[in-house]
Amino acid sequence: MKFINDNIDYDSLPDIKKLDYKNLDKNSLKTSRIHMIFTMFILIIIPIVIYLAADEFTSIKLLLTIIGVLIIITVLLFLYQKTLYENKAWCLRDKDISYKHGYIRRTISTIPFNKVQHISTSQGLLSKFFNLKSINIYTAGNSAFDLTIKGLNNDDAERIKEFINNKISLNKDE
Amino acid sequence: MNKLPLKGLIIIFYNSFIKLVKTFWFILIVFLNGKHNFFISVLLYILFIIIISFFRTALLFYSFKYGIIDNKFILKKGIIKKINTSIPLENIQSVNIKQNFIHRLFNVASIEIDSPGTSSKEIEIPVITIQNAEELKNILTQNLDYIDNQDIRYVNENLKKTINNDESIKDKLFSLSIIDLVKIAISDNIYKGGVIVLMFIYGIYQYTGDLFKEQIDQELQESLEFIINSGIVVILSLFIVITIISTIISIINVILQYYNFEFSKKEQIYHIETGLINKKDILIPIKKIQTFTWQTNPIRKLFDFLTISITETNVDSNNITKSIILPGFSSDNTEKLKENIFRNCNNEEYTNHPTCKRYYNRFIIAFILTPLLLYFIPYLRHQIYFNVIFVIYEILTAILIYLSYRKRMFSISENYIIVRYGKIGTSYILTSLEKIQSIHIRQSYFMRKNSHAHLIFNTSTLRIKIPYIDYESAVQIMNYTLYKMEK
Repeated sequence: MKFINDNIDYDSLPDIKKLDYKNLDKNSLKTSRIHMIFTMFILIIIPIVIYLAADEFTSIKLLLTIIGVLIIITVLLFLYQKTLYENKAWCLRDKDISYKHGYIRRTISTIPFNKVQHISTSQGLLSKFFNLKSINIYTAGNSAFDLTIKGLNNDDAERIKEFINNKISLNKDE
Repeated sequence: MNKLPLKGLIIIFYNSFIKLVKTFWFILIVFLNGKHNFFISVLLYILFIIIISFFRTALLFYSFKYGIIDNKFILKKGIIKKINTSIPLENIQSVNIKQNFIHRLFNVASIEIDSPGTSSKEIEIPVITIQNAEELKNILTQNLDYIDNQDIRYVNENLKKTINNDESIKDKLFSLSIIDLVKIAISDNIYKGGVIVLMFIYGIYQYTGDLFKEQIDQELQESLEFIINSGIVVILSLFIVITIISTIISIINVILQYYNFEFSKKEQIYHIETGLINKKDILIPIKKIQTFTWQTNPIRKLFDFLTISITETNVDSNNITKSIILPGFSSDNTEKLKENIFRNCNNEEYTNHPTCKRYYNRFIIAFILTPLLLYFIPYLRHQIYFNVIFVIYEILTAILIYLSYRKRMFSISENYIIVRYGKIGTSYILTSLEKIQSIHIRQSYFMRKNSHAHLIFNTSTLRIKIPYIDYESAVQIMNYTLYKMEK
């Protein structure tokens, strides 16, 4: 591939493939597992409640099969969380922030700081317990395209926020 | 950091009460199904809501803090879920002071701060004394750049005045005659109108159905039988009648929308006037235009014109991107307009990247191979109608997939990208690399194995997806685009 009519040397451009990615905080694996188990727990409770409440629907075999399948799914998801965790990573460069996530469908997203409109951090109850924070980076226009990084530790999140905020104000001053 | 005034307790309580009543209506149903009678159930429900709103109010009230530090507006709220937002003052687009009935009762107001990329609810101070609100508004809006950041509607009003007062400075570029309108209507997808009519009739049928159900059903039955029995002639004439009706509706629709269409330019702002009954007056600052799309189809090619649609940075507070449609531009005019919005975009040299054939495998599997499973149903297999329709369907889908493969193309030059796509018609999206807000590379597991990737560009209005290109060139394009964006 060539860009004619241009003088820059393509090999000298900073390469998005060779980023020095940092993983999320180890505790984020725990929180995502707790979230997952909580959801699955509710899913397992529902058929039990239906079984106890309804009179006509009394096949205990069916109930046990459903619960068995759900428990197998839970175990698989529990193991899969580890893969997901290992595939989530972020990287700050001088002029942009990148975040990659996903295993079956992997996405690498990059937002340059001069396109960032504003930035916010947020913390849920569980993440507060584990000292985690998530960071939201907003660009102009449609909010569906914004970047959210969940499961950074407190210090990292605040540091990233401060770093990007400084960059934004620097950009505006120029 | 400022806190909310004490009066705020009542107002937040009221707001959250109303909100919770709306969200938890289903609990009322639970209560009503219980053993108690109606009044006690409703009372229980209200008590339940009051207790929750009480906690919500307390949490929100004691955690809510806002202020201006280092040229940034900072807002902190939440105890269970902490939210901490900061916006550089330069990014604030508009500040709205609002007073609803309960605010007026206590002589306070609420303030909403708009910045691109936030939903309006996020940055709202629910209660603030009027004096503080005015002060805050003054501080926040003092460094708004007139054209760039000011609330566009306000600017629009002013501009409209100047433009209307001073006809001479207006540079008329383009207008549409009645014949043009008819051509536009014909080249449009006329069956859209027909479908709307059918839906309308169906709606009436649904509405009156209960009253005359038997008669209508009988009539329908008879006419359906008639249609089926008299075969192809009737179906054909029905088709023609629907076509004629659709065309007429389409023409009426186009005339209503685009009568007296006038496209003019004043300095760096485009001005569109259009409409027969509802007159529309649209102003588009050239700087704000994000993407430029032009579409043709075989009929439009015959008449030699295109339909253009452009998107501009979102200025609506409710985050809906509207594209502005400019119909009936000749290809010459399109080129000129394009050149005007994106400087030098026609003269740059583009490199083309066709989409990998593999991308279409998924469509072949989904729309051609999967329907073959229907042949496992013995009842269907023996129906002649089914077989005929099925063969036609398979052939048509195959043709459409092939066409969309042929049309898909992506070109990039020093400053611009153009994406071409379509099936029977062809659409092109053009945008400048500098207008892109963020880039994503997306790969499924299989794409990683054969080293391909989707490349996704987000402008502030549209998401432009370039599917299934070679991974190495995707990375290279991403590197280059980032370099361009960050310059």
